[in-house]
Amino acid sequence: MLLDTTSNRISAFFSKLSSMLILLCAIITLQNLVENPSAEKILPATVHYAKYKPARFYHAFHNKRQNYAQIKFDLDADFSNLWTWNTKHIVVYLVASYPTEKHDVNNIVVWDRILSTSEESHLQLENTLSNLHAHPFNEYSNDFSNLKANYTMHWTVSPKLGFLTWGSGTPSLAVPFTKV
Amino acid sequence: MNYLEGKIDFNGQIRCAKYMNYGILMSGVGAYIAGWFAQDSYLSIIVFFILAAVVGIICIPAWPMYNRKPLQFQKAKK
Repeated sequence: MLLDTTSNRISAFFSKLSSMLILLCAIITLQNLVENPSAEKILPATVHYAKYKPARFYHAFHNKRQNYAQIKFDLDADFSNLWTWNTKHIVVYLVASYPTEKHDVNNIVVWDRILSTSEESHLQLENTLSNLHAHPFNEYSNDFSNLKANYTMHWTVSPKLGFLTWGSGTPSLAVPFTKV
Repeated sequence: MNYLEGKIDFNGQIRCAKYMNYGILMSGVGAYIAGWFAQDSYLSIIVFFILAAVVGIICIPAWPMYNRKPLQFQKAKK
């Protein structure tokens, strides 16, 4: 590379700098791909009840009057094994899954939380209600009476330098819906 | 205009290329080690840019150490 004038030296320096930066980020990403910690101590959620009643949410997609369901559950999950030096945060969410006549699998997110540090990753919650404002739980056919849903924990690990990884826990037992 | 160009002699160019190559390589290695000990990926990138700025100060401006034997051009023949 030419180095006789100052502008030539600046251009050569920045080309070497960007090559080295790409190599550094690639090494950290490869290291993140190779060591993949997996979480073991995640128990299934214990659901107390799932109740529904008709309501109208003005902020929802359709503001018509329809049945909305709310869940009350306990949670005991330890996500501390998933934290490495390259983890930025973990997004944890509880998914309800139930079959209907028209479709085999319906999944809906019922509650979520973001864990920013490794110390607050051991979740021990009692009697928490699902978040009806952020995740409205409504059924397309508006008929909750014959359905049973089971609830599983999912998580997304987002690293500082690398690719996103997902995972899920074991599903809980099926719980029917009751009208309030 | 001649001063702004910042020309250096040939031996100075060879030494400047050597300092630039080894400097950026060592700053990459040092950045990875510093980030590993502090257990923070962001610190790796920050330390890399700081060390590369030090290498840039050594290599880019036309210091006198690169210009010990300045080039002598011949006089123009008539």
